[in-house]
Amino acid sequence: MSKKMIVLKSSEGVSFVVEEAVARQSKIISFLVEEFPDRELPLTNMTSEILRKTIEYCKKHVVEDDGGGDSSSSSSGDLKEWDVKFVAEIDQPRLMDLLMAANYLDIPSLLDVTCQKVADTIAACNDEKEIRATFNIENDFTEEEVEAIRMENQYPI
Amino acid sequence: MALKLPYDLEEEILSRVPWKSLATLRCVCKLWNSLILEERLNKKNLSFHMHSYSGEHRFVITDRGPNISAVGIEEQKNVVDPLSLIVQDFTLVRVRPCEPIKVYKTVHCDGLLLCVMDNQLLVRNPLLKETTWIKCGSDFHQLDDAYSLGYLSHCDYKILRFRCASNSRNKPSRVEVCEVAFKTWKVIDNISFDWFLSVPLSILSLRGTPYCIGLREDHTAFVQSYDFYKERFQPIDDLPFTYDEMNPIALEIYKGDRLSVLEQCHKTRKICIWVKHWLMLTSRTKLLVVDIPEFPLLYPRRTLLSTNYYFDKNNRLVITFNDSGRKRLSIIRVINDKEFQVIKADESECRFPFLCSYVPSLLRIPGFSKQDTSRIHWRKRRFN
Repeated sequence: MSKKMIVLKSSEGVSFVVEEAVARQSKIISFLVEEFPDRELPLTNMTSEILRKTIEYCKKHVVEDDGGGDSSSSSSGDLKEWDVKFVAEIDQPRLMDLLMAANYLDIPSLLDVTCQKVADTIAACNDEKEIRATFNIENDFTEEEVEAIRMENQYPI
Repeated sequence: MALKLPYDLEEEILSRVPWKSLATLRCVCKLWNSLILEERLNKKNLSFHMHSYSGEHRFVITDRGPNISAVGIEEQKNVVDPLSLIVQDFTLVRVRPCEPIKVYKTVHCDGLLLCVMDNQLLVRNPLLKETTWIKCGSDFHQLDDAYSLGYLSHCDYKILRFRCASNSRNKPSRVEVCEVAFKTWKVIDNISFDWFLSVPLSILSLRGTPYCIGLREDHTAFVQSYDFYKERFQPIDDLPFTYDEMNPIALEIYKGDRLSVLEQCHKTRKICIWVKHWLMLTSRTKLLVVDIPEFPLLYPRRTLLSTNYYFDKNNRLVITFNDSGRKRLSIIRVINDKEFQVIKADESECRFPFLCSYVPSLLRIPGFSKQDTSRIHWRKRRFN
């Protein structure tokens, strides 16, 4: 029996043909597939590049159901390692897009790894200036305000 | 918007950044500053770090004097590197500068410390430097009186204090609960004690519920808990070993959400640790056995002492050890099944201090507003 395929369309109009089981890791797609079984699903706020990445992640994480219960295609240790490599290879702006995609499509495990990667990047910064530069955040504090917060947070006591 | 993400996603990300970066994160922009001070983020952060991050684990040493210090060991990449000690001064002198303070004991709950003093209790978040004082009766006795901090839901912190029917001074038993936000005490009636506290008097708080090791009249030991909702003690289950009063025992939290018990055989020095999930009713699993004949006895029996322990990032046991001969406290890390490292935890010669584990958090003390510093001054004046 051939596996059921569905079609996802990116914002540039590029179609991606994906196995249903792969795409169903997204709770949103899962819902849409049931509502509109035989239609192409337009994902107008996702670029082809991000959609390709998302599909790559979902393919790796799909749980094969060959009639014999749950058997993941990879062991959980390998999978974790793969995840780390997966997010390490993505540059900062695209990581943000991927995080948004995970949020939009409702894929909890992808959201988890992307959020963790961003958090690790923040933790690796030496000071607030580096964080602002890395993430392109505007400083809306005065110097006095920053000083006040610093005083409050001298650790320990 | 700082990262140009929805608030809940920024929150999700910030909750995963370790505490050390707190001050830096708050300085980045106004949105982050307010997100970090928000209650919701703190709860998320708490659950993340209690589960995954052991580098912030400290042992709080209360010396029955004015000194409280928090000691921990540096997380190291290399297993054989010598241990280095992190010491943080939690002494309350700066909280009340004019009066000598004697802290009898300290208990911990989710980053808040409850310090027991003459006539009063102090609930403090040492990280946020938030403090609230609570008056109470003065007949504290270190052998008989047990204190714990807990909650039913996250904002309603409660203090439990009790004395079992069988106590060293033949005083009547009592159970009292205080609402931290309102500072009101309530006497809980009709609790009969068919058990007493095993020495050591160590009580811990896991997900707001106090747990301790109780002893029945027939000298069987069990894990006891207190239910703030039903206002009753609820026995959990028997210990997974036969109680022997010569053997050091301890109760601890394992990776933020599980109870674990420890027993050391006083003859063979063998240490066994069992773990149980807080919800699952399956039996305990034996987590670890340390069988090194040269291992010291963790603490001399028939004292008020206990031991505290946790597992570091590499899953190695880190445990406190009271040397009765040299009157000092040390921290031991077990490297493998043959080796362990010892580091002296306290420079001063302290006779058997009270210990508790401590993991920093951003939890706010109920009724305390962060920006309102005038309140701190008012409190200082009032109690000086």
